[in-house]
Amino acid sequence: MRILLVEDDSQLLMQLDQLLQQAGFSVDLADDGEKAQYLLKEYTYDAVVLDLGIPKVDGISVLKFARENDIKTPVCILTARDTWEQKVLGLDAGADDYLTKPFHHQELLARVNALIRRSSGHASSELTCGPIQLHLTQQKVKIDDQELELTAYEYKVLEYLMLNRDKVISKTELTEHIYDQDFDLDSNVIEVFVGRLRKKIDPTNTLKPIETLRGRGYRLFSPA
Amino acid sequence: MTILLVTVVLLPSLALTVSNAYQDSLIKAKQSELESMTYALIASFEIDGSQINMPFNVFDDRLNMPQSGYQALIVMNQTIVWQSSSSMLNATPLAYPQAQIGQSIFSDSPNAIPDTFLYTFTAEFESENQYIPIKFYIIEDKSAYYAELDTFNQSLLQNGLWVGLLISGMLLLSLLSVVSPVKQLVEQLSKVASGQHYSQADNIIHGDYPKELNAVKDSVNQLLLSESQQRTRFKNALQDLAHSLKTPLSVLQGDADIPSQSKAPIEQIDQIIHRQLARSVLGKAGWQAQINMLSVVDRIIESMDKIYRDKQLRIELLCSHDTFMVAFDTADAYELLGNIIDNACKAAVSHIVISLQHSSAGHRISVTDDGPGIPSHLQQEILTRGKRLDTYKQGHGIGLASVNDLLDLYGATLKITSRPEIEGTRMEMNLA
Repeated sequence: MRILLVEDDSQLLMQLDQLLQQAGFSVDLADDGEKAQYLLKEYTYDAVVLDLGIPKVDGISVLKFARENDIKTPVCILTARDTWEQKVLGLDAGADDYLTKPFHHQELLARVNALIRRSSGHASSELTCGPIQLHLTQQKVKIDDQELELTAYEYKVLEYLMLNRDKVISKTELTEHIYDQDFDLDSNVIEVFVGRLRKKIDPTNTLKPIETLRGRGYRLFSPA
Repeated sequence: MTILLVTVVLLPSLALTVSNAYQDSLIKAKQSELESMTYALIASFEIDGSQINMPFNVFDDRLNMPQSGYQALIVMNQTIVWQSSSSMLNATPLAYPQAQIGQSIFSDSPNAIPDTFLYTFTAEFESENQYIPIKFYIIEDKSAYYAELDTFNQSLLQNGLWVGLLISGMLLLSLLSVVSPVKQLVEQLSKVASGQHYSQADNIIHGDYPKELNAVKDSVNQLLLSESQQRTRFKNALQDLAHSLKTPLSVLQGDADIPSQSKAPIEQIDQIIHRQLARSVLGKAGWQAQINMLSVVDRIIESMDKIYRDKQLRIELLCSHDTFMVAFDTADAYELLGNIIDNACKAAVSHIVISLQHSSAGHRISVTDDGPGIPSHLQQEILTRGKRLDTYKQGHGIGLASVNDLLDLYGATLKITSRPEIEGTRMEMNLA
């Protein structure tokens, strides 16, 4: 999952970057509103964590810019101005959730996970696809109730495919959502991850839950 | 009132004064007239020994004609020695006023002869080497005087009525020209005071007034504008302060290396900042503009739909009006209703009803949830400073304490009704 984190305080920005990366997210950073607008326009994100009090272009304007440009990425606003008028203003401008400073890191992770889950149309934080069970907040995967050991990138690939079950996901889209912008994109790496994932999920190669659509990408579907 | 005072009191008093003055002047003129007649009579009088000589007809014809209203008498040794042809008096001269020698007496109501003017002068004449005091009386019937006075009073009344009407009309016009703009200004001010005028950027009092009142209007507008700007500046400064303090607090709270014993003080600092800043930015103005509470509630409901979308709450809004105007600061309204509705959303199982009603006592807003309810012994505590109730596990007592501050500030009341009276909890606010 790829997150855009917008915060002007460098210490908090680094801290949250580390937190989100440790939680398995690919994180792009912006320390002002102009950079945030540019990144939102150029890249596709699964969620945005946006501080309202940022320089150059304020957070509310960034939100409005995103919604006016038909960017539907869910946004969680961070605000120190914690009056209800400010919260309503932010939610009204297009935010999907808010968090007032200071906040507990686990609270931020839970909110971001909930946003991503809701935006993909899932009501629960536990996704199921045949024998595969994926818990978004715990980041655990089980096959027939047996916990599966996955690397961070393998988990990211599976999580994205499960959130977009039955949809065709191109290699580029998959790459964009599991890596941050500074990563050198190489589609062969995705093929390697998908290959390893298939072996771990379906060692006997009987379920075949990840389908390869030549020239178009991958699709996860519920095994019969 | 002023016109009534002028018409009923001032003008009649003025007419009475004029009438009295005329009466006095008339009496004075009568005195002079009778005095002249007396001197003429004295000039005609002669005495020789005990014999007096007076012509049959005197110089003044009014004393020669009966019923002319004038009569003359000459009294010597208490005996009438002469009376004019016009005289028909039978009174004894002893009853008449007696002037000293060389002195005169004028009376406009002598006891002996009612309804007359009387002038008497006592002169001393020499006769046969002795001085004899002779009393001269001129008496005038008052009927002519009354007629003249009556004519004057009637004329005064007629003309006075016209003058009175004219003065009242002019007074009314001038009062209207002065009072009307003052009244308009007072009406505008009372509308602003009750919050019926709403303008944040422009002048608040509008309309054309006389030059003198325009200065008052401009000053009041300037005062209102500067007060509003000052409050906005103050609020913004506090919000900036909150931002500056809370971002480093976020860093501290997120620092994994921070000792565990420091976490509680950090939370405490955050709560103090939150609580004190929330209290400081309460924005009620002396003259509070009215806002539409219905649109505030609408926007809060939209936000709650986003925040609590996982709970799939049904929030029902009941209001029989298109607008629900209440004199309240916008930010305060969001704070008050935001906290109450947010707590209801946290407590509710599936359904919330928000009702807005105007009543004779003011404006009533109630928020009812279908949650577990609040035990009666905790209902009063819920609004105490920083209180956190298990019933509202996700809440922070500060929010409801802010509600308490706002209710105090606006002189509003909050009534909590909970199980077993109703299913869930109802928070009913009565705003003045």
